[in-house]
Amino acid sequence: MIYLVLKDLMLQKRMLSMMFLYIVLFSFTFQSIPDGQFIAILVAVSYMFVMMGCAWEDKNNSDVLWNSLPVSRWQIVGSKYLSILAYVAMVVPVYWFVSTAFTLLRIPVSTAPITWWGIGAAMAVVFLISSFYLPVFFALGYTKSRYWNFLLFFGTFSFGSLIPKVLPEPPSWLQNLQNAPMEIFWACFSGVVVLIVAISFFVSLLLYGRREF
Amino acid sequence: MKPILELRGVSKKFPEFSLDEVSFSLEPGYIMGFIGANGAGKSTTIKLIMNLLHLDGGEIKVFGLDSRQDELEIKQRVGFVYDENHFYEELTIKEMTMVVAPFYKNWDQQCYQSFVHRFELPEKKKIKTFSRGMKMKYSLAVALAHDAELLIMDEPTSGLDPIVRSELLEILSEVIQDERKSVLFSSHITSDLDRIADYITLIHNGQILFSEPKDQLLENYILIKGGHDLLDGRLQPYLVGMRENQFGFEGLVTNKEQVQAVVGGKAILETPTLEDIMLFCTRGKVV
Repeated sequence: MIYLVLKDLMLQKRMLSMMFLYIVLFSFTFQSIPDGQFIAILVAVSYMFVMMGCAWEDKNNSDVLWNSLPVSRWQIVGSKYLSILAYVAMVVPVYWFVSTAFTLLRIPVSTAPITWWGIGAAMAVVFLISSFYLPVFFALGYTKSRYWNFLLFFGTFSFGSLIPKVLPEPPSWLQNLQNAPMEIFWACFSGVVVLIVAISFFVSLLLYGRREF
Repeated sequence: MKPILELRGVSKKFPEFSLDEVSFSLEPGYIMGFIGANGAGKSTTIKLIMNLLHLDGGEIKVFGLDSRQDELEIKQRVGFVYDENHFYEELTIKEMTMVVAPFYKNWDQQCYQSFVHRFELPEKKKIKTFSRGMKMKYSLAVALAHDAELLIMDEPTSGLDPIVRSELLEILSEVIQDERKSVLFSSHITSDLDRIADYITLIHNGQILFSEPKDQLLENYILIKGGHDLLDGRLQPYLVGMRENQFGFEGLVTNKEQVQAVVGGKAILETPTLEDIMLFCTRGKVV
């Protein structure tokens, strides 16, 4: 499976210059949310790489290749989830490079510092969005799933901030959780993310198993 | 001898096409030409063998193993060359091989390199810069580098120039020399198979019309050309297919001795090519 992730990275390395450009662009765009700027950039760029990774598969009709090789379908599906980790890991150093360059060149753009908390939170959000996208991708392929992808991506950034205003008063157990120590909050949050990712993986596997090429 | 590939009653239904009870088998050490017109069901059959499509009925055994239950074990021992390139066009073959090779337990890097040199494939150029022939050769190098016992080739020569086609056919002849390997070679370019195939399987409208040794096929069928006066009904029992024009007729018949007795010296009898056999068997009588 690691070689499938390696393939995703080799394909994406050609997009490295685009990554720089996106980070510069998003640094300007997300200046208005200094607390969430790092997370937002990490999520936006990493998820764009998830999308591009799926687009490469479609462009090369590579399902035929992988399903003709001694590779199981769970490896093909699993590698797309595993690649998310690799994408986030790729974006972080590029973000550091861009933010350092802004400082050294005295470009008047404020950039948020890199934190472990931010990396973890961004990773969770990318996994969550991907968990809603990948089952549709594995069921229908990239071309047919791109509208759903578009909705998810732009929906997350356009309406994400509106959710707290639209939702009713949270139940008391959730309020208690919000007031709980950070460790407990994070443990619960991570548990929920892992559960959603696991469900998404098994749904993807089920749907991909039914696909014909 | 145990067949290396065996299809029994294989069926697959699509809204506008169906594969109906397809059965044939291939023994080790032979090349089977899988012929038929475009849309006859060749690629569907190959996709079913490779488990790229789900079976609606029947059974496929490769190396005596079930193609569904033992899929990964089978694919370790199968090489494939498709009519289209499915490798990532943005990668070089060096990168592509780095990703593909680890999946094969029997990958032989030295063997792979020897084919890369023999085929003069530039390792550092992106696959998208390759010609169709080079892409096919790369597929073949990958297929041969893991010591595949069964090569499955779906229209590998379509769109290739005669030199590359000839080169491919030479390699395939070499491949089966050890009598352990077999090739299933689907094509509608029957002249390629005239040269190398040991067995011919003809598929038409999703049904197998015959699956026989090529030599036997060429002995069984005779191409006949003659005037309209010969079409008095006596040839009817032997005619497989026929076409008429203003000067006479041309047809495919079986049973050479009896046909000779019927026509005497009034007709030309020739050994047909595979193309003649395919055309007359699938088109029947065309006036």
